[in-house]
Amino acid sequence: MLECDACAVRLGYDAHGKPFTVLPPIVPGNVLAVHDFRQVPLPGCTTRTKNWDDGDSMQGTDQGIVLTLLSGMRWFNQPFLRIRDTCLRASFDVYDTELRARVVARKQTLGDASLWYELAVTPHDQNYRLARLFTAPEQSDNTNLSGPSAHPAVLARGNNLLELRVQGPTLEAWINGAKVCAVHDAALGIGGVAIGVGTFSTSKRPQRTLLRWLEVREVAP
Amino acid sequence: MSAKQLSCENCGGPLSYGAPFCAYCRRPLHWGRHVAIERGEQFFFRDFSRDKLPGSSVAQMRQDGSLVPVEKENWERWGSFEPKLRDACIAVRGVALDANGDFGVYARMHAQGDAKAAYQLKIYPAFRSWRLRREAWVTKATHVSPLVDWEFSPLIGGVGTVNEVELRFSDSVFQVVLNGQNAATVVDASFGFGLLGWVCGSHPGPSQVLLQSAGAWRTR
Repeated sequence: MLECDACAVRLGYDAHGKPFTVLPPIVPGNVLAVHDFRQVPLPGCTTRTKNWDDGDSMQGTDQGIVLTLLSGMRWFNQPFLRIRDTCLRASFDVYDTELRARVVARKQTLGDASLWYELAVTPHDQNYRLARLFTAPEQSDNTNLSGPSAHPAVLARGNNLLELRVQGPTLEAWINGAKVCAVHDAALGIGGVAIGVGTFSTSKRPQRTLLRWLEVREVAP
Repeated sequence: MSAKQLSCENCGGPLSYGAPFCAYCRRPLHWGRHVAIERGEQFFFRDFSRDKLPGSSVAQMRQDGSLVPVEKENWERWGSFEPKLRDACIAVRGVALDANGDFGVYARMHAQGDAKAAYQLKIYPAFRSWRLRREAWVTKATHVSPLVDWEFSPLIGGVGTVNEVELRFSDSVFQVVLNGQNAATVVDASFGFGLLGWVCGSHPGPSQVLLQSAGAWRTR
């Protein structure tokens, strides 16, 4: 086995002598934290029901928390956990067509700017994307690592289970128990975990999702 | 753990500092001993009295290096070197010619679209102090998070003297080496890969910095 001189990923060679990256498997380990939104607020929040000044709202129900967005995006950051290697799983139902839900790992804040990895889906068109992102008040930008592309594992209706596994420079995206991609990206190494929900509707039509739970696990040997 | 870089003694696989097991062979790892990063084989060496300073069209090449004018106060000029790396030692040798000038190095500079992020290590010879921070910037703004803010070190020479600023990094372990001596070790896993670079800055007023050379080496 050889190793890339620059980024330290392991390399193998196929029968034609062409190199390929050898990514180690990421195995979910012990549970670090579980947020069951039937009982507890979203990460970083103190209540399950709230109305924001801009018209967005969330409502606690017996199945979880229904979040209604009119525009833009809402972040729910876990404030007590910066972690490098982890497996994040989030369960949610998207009710409307102009909504994107994401699980976020290694969210790093620098002043007013942030960088992170996210696994995002838009259920209505069954698209997913694994990406590295940057945002600041004056500009946002991104680097796609896999997708955006349609995948049958993303359910257009009903409950979707998103899982982002990160271990060293290896990232894996799992959707509803199916591994949709594995990539090597060494750019970001540690940071917080979060859920992000955003609407790309320009009409301010309410977009709703039911957030059921979020689970944070260690990685296992 | 192997002494060479951060690699597994069992399978040779790359390791994350502090990881409980090797991701490739799954063997348990035990940490605790000090990781000393040293220079290995050279990637490159540039003598700025002969070699063009990358990224700066305003630098004036002289017999003793390249003079970098930073015309505005609280401003920076910078440039980058290939290749992109995870682990390396990057050193810049230079002279702050006035009390406003500082200079140093970038490590692991990478892009998200037009935005860039990196580690920056600088010395400010007027105060014989150094700083290590994370930066993310776009055309109109820079956002920062200090790892070590301006801190005095007797290893740094004052204005008008030659100083060598070096950052050695292997996975999340960073060692600040000033004029050949280890000044500090910092562990931070925020950014893991990218370009190397140089930087010259100014403080309350414009400054001039003479950059003499830059070099990069493997870690061992």
